[in-house]
Amino acid sequence: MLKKSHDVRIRQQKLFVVLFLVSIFFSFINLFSFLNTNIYPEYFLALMVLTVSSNLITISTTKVFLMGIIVDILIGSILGQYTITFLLLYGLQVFYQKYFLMPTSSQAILLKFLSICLGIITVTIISQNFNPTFPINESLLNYLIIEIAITFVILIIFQIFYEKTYGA
Amino acid sequence: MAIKVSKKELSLFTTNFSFTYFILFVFLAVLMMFVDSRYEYLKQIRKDFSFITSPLIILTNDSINFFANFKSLSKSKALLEEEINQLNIQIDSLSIENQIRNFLVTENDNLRKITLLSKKYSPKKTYPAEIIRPTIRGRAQIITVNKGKKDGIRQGMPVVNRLGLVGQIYSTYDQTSEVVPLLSKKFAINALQDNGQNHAIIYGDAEFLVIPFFPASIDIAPGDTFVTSGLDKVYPSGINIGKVVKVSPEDKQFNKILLKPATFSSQFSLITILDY
Repeated sequence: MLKKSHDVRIRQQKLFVVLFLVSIFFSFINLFSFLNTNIYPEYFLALMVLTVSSNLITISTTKVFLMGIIVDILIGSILGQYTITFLLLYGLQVFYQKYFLMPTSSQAILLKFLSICLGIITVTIISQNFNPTFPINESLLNYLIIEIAITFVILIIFQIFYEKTYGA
Repeated sequence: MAIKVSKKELSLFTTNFSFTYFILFVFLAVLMMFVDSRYEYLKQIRKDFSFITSPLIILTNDSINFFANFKSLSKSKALLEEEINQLNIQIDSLSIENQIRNFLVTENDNLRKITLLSKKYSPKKTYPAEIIRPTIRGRAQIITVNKGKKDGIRQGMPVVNRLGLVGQIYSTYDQTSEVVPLLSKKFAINALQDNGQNHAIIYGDAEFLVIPFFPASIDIAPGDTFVTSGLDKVYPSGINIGKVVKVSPEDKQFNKILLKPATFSSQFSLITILDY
């Protein structure tokens, strides 16, 4: 793994804070509600996948747990929903890093995609059980596909910002 | 020469990741979900943390209002005059309707006195409020209104708009409140068919309102309307709930009735909270 310089690390920490605030803002606003569609991109999930896969900040199980609780308080259907999802994503990432060292960029993207899928499926299962207003107008599969696609696009956008922290 | 590898380096996770801690935290998360689903602690925690979330809500709404105000600046004078004319016509027709209503209310009170029926209660006070952001929390659609405890809003108050019942106040914070909408699965209400004859309990069911067991012997058809009965003493009687869209036989004795709500929270940004 590449060693990050002090400046890069500081820039990435700042980026994390900014992306966290952006995620809160857009989670509250839901841009897609203006189009009258039931699409809720998972900004926090995208941020978490980027954080654990790219070491945006120094991460540990305790930090992941605390972040999960904060997100649960902000937007969770039930306490523990995002906590368990983030922990599973973190576990998957650690497992992957242990067995698949030095992945190519396409492998890394595939892993991020799989992480998004796992995260969305976990959050959806929990929402379906505990959220009385879970949108079920269309088929669950369509819903999952759209959610995964949009969240992945958001992750790519976050990733672009992340890569810029090295550029300067 | 063979390299000696310590046992620790051969373990599954050689980073500073502790598998024991991981399992412990996963267990804690599951425990939190179990406890919250049973005791609804999250609602209380959100109330306690409202000093953090309130500025976020204000910030979100201010930025949206800024764009909305900017858009309204571009409205032409002619368009605004036209809108004022339309509103004046509406006010005239509403005041005529109100005169008739006042007469009917007095007549109803007198008849109730004569027939020794109990007094029909009307709301003590009404609070006009505006629906603000957030309209979602995660994947839950919520209705947040800009009136809270400080304005006298209490949990359980009915919420209406000019087309009918919107929902009920579910939780209150200092400056905002959340409304549980009609379509929420947590919602149930005592209703009366608008011909004044048949009572039923209507439940929210995500997409439609539903009466799961309605006696098959009673004639009911798509287009029939249900209003609040007032029997529950939570909602005033006569508020539009919804219209029947489908009657399907459940068994020989009962029909399942699906209703479309009279109003959706997304239709209007202004609502009225009733102190009943």
